[in-house]
Amino acid sequence: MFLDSRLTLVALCCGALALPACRGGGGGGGSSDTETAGTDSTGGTTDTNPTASETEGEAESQDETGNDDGPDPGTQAPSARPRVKFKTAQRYATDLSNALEIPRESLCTELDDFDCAAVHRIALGEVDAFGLRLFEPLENMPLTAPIAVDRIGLTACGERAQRDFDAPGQAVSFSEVASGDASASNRDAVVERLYRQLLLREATDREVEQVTAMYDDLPSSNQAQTWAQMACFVIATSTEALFY
Amino acid sequence: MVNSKISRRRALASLGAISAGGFAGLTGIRASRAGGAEDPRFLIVLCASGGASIIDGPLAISEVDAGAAAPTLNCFPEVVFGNLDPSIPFRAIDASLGAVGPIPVPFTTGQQAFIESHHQDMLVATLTSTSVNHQVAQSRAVTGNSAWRGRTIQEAVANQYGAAFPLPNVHLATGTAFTQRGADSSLPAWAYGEQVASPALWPLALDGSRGTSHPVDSDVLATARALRNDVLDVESQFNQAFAGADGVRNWTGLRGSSQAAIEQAELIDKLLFVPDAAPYNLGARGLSPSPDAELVRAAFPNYDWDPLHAQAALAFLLIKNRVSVTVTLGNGFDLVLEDGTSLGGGGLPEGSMANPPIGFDFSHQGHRSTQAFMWSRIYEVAGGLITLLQGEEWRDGESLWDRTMIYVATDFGRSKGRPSNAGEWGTGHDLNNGIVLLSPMVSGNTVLGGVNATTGMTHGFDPGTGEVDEGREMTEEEIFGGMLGVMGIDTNGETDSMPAMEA
Repeated sequence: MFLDSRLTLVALCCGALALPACRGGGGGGGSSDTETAGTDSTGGTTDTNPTASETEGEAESQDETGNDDGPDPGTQAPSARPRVKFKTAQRYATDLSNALEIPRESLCTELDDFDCAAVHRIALGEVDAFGLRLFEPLENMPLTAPIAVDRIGLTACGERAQRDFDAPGQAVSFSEVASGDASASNRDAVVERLYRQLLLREATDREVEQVTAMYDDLPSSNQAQTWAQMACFVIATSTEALFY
Repeated sequence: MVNSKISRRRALASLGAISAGGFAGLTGIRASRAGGAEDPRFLIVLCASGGASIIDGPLAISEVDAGAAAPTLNCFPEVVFGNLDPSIPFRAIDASLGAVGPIPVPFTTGQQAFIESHHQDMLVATLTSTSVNHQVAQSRAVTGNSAWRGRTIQEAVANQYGAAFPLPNVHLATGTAFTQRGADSSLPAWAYGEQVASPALWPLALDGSRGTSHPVDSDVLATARALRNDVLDVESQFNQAFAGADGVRNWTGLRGSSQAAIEQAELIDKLLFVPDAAPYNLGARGLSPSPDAELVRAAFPNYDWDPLHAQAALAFLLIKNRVSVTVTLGNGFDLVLEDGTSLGGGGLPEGSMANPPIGFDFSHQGHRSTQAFMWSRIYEVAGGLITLLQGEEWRDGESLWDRTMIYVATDFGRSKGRPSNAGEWGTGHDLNNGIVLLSPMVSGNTVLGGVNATTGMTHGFDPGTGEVDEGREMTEEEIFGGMLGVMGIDTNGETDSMPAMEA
């Protein structure tokens, strides 16, 4: 029983943390065997003897000749016991601060005077025992929570973009486009870096393509900087960035 | 590979679909919530946390009426009663006191003015509750001791009338069980309370971009959100693995049409009641106060340091702007002093304290002064809300107040006795009490039940006729059913009606 639990824990961790997809591999998230164990869909099997029935992705990957090309690109079997936690306001702000290399105190303020994470802390899962006598996080996430996250993400990303475009030589996230060339290849490079900075993994080909292409949907005025801010925004406020 | 790139045009089209329609851009919400009433009634739960004793408020007992019991009963000398018309069945405490319990802060109660102005819309019904534990009692005060499937009255009202409202049930009070979620999990998610922690700044969370230091156009934000929500999140391996997690599923559900509809309604322009001055400086960030901001600040001038005033200001705006059908506000359990108040010798200036520690429950330390102070505070806030709501037309000459009920909810009563002829003393919790309802929809200028002037105990009434029944005590279930009746909510016989409470 103990061994099973331990294997399950290891498997879940692998599943959660080994999701990064290599760009060349199209999002396999590491070896197929690791993924199989990571989802724990078979109750804690190890990767030593995977069977065709262990993951749907693997089963689908075998062609008629029986060759195994690995899982379909970008396929991840659902976790049998999905347990993830919301980061809450302060943890999220700290992660953004570290990822974007913006001092925490200047990451995001409301009306220039109130720290964003403090203003929205209750909506974003925190408590305030001494001030509001809220001893437990809200039972239900409020409808305003996603908007609050968007404000924080938009502000932090806007701040990073502003700093990088003001001083391209010292850019942290957007150096390729901040210097004046927002070509597709330069945008690709920025997207790849943003995924590493914000999600600590490599972007998939598909993700790079999609975020890069958003450029064409933006107004031409200040297009490069706006794209930089919003490319950061879509990654920084993704579900993956908000849960752990 | 399917090209699912989100075009700006597509994003704008989806926004346009949301903003179309005649209800201020809330079509998305209306479409996704069935059963919304076109003729809503509004509920304000005004929490008198800590135990508001009905015999220290509208049913105060005079020493003359108490007779021989007066020296050891919680009763008042005639001189403190306001000079009300004899046709008014309530009493008002008008007195000046030098302290609230041991806190040296002078204050004057002015209850007569409130009673005179609103007695026609005021109903007092006696009640004997079932718990003297604060949290349990508070919870039962809003569920009627689980009278109707465990729903709170706020949830019942939101479920009945809130389908077309962006945030039907808003909780402005914190740290009380009056805002505890009810036990009925079958209600739609939007019927449960939305907690607001900071009324002054909370409206900022009604728009994802406006007022930030790096705002973008709404169409740019819509484009990015569409890419994130519909493509990146959906396709991500994280989502494939963990989409089934409760937190992720809930989060995904919150994003989308409801979120966009809130922004399209431009509530950030309607609910910010703080001035365009330091420390808020709204104009510097492209924002401006609500058109009603001056009005509500005049009604609740201490909004900047008194949480109850701030809650009341936002409560009115939430109802006025058709954001909510029920709001819950109330005093907290913390000492509230005006910013900069010195705690040095000589006592505190009059008006510098908004709330004593533990609210009404400070009666443990000083019953008479605490009850007088806190009842006056409840009346002041209720009066402000009523005046504001009376000034807003619903339609065809009917005001918002005409379809609103204020329920002054409290935990329980207080013990009835006092040391011989004491002017100040401490009291404990007592099940026996009563409630105050304020509304044109209730049977106004009415006391249902009564008080034994020699014991301080309240007695009941016939639920149908309202006739006094000294051998009866009213239950939480009965009062809850009566309030649902006033609010026009049909429970299909699951609760007993109380016609005597209705206008």
